[in-house]
Amino acid sequence: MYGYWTMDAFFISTFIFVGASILNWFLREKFGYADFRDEYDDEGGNE
Amino acid sequence: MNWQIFNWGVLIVAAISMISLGIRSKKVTVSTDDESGFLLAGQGVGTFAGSCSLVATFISGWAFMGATQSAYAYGGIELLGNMLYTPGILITIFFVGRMLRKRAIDQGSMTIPEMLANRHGTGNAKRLVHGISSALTIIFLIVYLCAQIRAIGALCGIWLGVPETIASLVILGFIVFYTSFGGLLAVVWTDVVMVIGMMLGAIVINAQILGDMSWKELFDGLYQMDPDLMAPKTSSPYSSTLLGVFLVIPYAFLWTSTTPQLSVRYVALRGKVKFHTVALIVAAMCVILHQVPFAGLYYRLLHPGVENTYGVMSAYLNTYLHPISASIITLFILFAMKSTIDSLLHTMSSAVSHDLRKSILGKHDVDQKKALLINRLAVVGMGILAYCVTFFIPASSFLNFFAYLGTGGLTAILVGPIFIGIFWRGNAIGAISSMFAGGTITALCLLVWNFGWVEGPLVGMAAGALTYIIVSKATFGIQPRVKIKRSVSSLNFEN
Repeated sequence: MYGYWTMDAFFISTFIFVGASILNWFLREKFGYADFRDEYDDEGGNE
Repeated sequence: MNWQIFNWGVLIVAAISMISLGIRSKKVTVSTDDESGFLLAGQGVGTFAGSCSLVATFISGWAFMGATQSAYAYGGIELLGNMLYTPGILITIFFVGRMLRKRAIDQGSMTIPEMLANRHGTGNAKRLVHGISSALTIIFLIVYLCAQIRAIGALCGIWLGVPETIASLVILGFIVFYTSFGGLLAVVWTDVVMVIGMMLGAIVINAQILGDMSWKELFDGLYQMDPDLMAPKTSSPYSSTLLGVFLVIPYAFLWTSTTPQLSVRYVALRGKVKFHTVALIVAAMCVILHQVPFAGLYYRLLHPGVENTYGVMSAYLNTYLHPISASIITLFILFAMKSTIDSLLHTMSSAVSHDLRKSILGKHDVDQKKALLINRLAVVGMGILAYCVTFFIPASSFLNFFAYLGTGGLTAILVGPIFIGIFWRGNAIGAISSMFAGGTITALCLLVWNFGWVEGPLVGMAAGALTYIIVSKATFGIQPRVKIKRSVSSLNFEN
């Protein structure tokens, strides 16, 4: 780390979003999209 | 050697390539029995092309010119603020993009204002929502578009050795030409070429800087020059608080979820495209492109005291790169700006030719052939209008400010009926009230009350979202929530 909060936050945040994208890709490939989003209800219910 | 003649040659070759892609895309605009060929690229955009197009629209010339200008002026906070946009768009792709596409297609909507209208009203109420949302889309996008045209004129004028007004006219001319021919598909195909060029440009810029000094030397030098450049006590210009810059994440999330020029790309993706693969490609591209504003830091360290920060990127390229490299990278930067301009132009012309037309004509709509002609003429008309308005922007202004005013205002207008409406749907009265509340509060925060670039739009978004829920709940007795007839989707949601 460089000791300046702006640049440290820049590099840490970059690592986090790249890691999250890889993890998301892996989980989606393994478990797919079987979630609430396929059958939605936007009228206040809980399908 | 006269490098400006070389630059003209490079531009002419690039323009011919773009126009050829536009003419080739024309086949798709007439291949469907409705306007989806022009407005949604026939819903056939693939994974890589879709990712490139999202990045090109999302990052744009604003990262090259505006962010580099702000990095010069404000230091590391701009690098961080600029980079924090990426988590925002990734959250959208992870959680919202697919839902948005499904809802739009379920209701047979080809544009975002149309989706908004279909979900909030029937008959005259639907036409009113459609008309207001498209008119507000045009008003706020034209502010953003003009900032982009101004930036492209500044850079291209120096590059070609002609006045800013002539340079932006030349670029805008060929953008209008290929967009009016090929619609969204032409925009997407040219975006692919551009993003690859933009990434090459980013790599060359970063290699030059790192070849000269390490990041540590760069940061230490800037800190010694002015500690606030590396370790500021506030997040200015994003926010007046220390960590307010992180508000960029929710801001970017809402922006990329709602603004029509980005949202329409989720709808245009081919049915089998996997959103998690799109997210991965977008993340990788953004890592490379977020390195560009380092040029602003580097130039600040070696050339402090530049008064016209507007031209920092041009000055950097002309000072530190070989004329051939500088010429080609300038072309890529022009591509980056062009990629946003064509998207905005396409969205604005869709709002005029499709949305306003449907809102005004209602059941007396024109046939498919005339609709396509109107779409093409609208691109030309919007191009002329934007060019005329562009030079009212003062030369000394921060282009980023106008970008925030345009995109932040539009997000605040649409956050209620589009974003909240995905999860909880209100009625037409709530949608219209929300659009006016969000737009007005954002404009007041940025133009009158001097809020931060991100804070102002976020306050507007909160006002828009709350108004949507409160007014809709209060008026369900007068105007109940519409029942949506879901059409059988032609898309395959296998992913």
